[in-house]
Amino acid sequence: MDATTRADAATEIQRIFSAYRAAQPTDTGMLAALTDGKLYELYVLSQLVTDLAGRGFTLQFVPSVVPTGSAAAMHSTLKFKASPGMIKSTDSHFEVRCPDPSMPICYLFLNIEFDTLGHSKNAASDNSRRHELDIILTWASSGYPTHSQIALGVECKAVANFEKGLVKEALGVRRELSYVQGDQDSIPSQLGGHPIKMVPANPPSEFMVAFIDPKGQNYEESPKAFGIDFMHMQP
Amino acid sequence: MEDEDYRALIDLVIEELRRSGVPDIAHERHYIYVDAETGEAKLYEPEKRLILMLQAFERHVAMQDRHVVEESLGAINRATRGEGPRRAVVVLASDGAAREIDLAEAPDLHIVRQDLLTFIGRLREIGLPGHF
Repeated sequence: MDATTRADAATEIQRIFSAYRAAQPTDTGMLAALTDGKLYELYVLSQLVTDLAGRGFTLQFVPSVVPTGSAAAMHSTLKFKASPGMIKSTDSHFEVRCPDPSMPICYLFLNIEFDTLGHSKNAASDNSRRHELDIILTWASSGYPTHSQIALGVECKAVANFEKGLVKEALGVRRELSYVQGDQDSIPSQLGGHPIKMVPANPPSEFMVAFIDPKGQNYEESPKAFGIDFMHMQP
Repeated sequence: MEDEDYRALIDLVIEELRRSGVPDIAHERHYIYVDAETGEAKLYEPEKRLILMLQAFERHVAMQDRHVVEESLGAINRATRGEGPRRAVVVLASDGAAREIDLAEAPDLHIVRQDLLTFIGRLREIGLPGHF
C-alpha cells in the first residue's frame, strides 16, 4: 500500500464512521432499545417463525390488547419488553397450531421468565428461581411457565464479537431446562413438526442460541451434547 | 502492502470506534488465536485484524439498521396466516407510564453497511492498483 492508498483508505474509514455517527438517534430510549439487542431479537424471531412454518406449524399473530380508540389500536403491533416477565395473553404473541391437530394449541411469546428445573427440585424462591428466554414456544397461556412447559427456547446474542462466556451462559440455561438423557424426539417433533429432530434432553425441549458473529460456530460442538443448537444468524 | 500501513489504519479504526461509543469492538482479546503447535496466544496479523475489526463493526451496525426491521417484519408476515404485525416496539421499563420505542424509527444504516462491506472487499484485494 503506497502512501496515497493508505491516505485514501484512512479518508474512507473516517467518512464511513462519520456517516454512522451522523445517523445515530439522539433519543436515549431508542439507543437503549438498540443497545439491548431488541432489533436483533426481531430478526431472530423472523427466522424462527419462518422455520416453524416450514416444519408444518401454522402461526397467527395476536396483537396486544390496547384501549379502544387509542392511536396504537390502529396498528398491529409486536411488543418486545426491555425487562422480561410472565406470560400475559393480552401481550402480543403468536398462536401456533401444531401439524398434529390432536395436539394442544401453543404460543410463541417474547421475553419470558420460566421457573427453573432447580426450582422444581427444591422450591427455590430467591433470584435463582427463574431465568429468561428471549423467545419461547409453550402451551402455557398465563403466568410463569415451568421448565417442563417449554417446547422450544431461544436466546439471542446480539454482540458483535462472540465470547466464550456466552457458551457458559447457554449451558447454565440448558441445565435449568432439562436433564441430560439419551436422544429422543424433541417436543416440537412430538407436536407433529417435521423433519423429526432428536435432542439428548428430558424434557426434550429444543434450545437454540442465535448469534450474529460467525465465530460462535467455533463453540457449537460440546454444547450439542446437551441439546443446545448454536445458530449463526446474520442479517 | 506493509504491516505498518495496516497498523496505522487499525489505530485510526480504534479511535473511530471509541468516538462512536463502541470501544470494546477494538479490544485485543477479540483478535487473539492460540498457535496450535506452541500453545501460545498471538494477535492476528495486522491485515486480518483490521478486516475482522471492520467486520465486527458492520455486525454492530446491522443490529441498529432500520432495514433489518423492515425485512424482519416482511418475513414474519410471509410466514404467518392472517394479518401479521405492522410494526415492532420495545416497551421500556419506567417509573411512570410505560414508554414504547418504535423500531421503525431506528436509523437508516443501509448505506453505511454497504460502504463498510465494499471497503472490506477492497482491503482484501489491496495491492492491486487503482483501489481507493
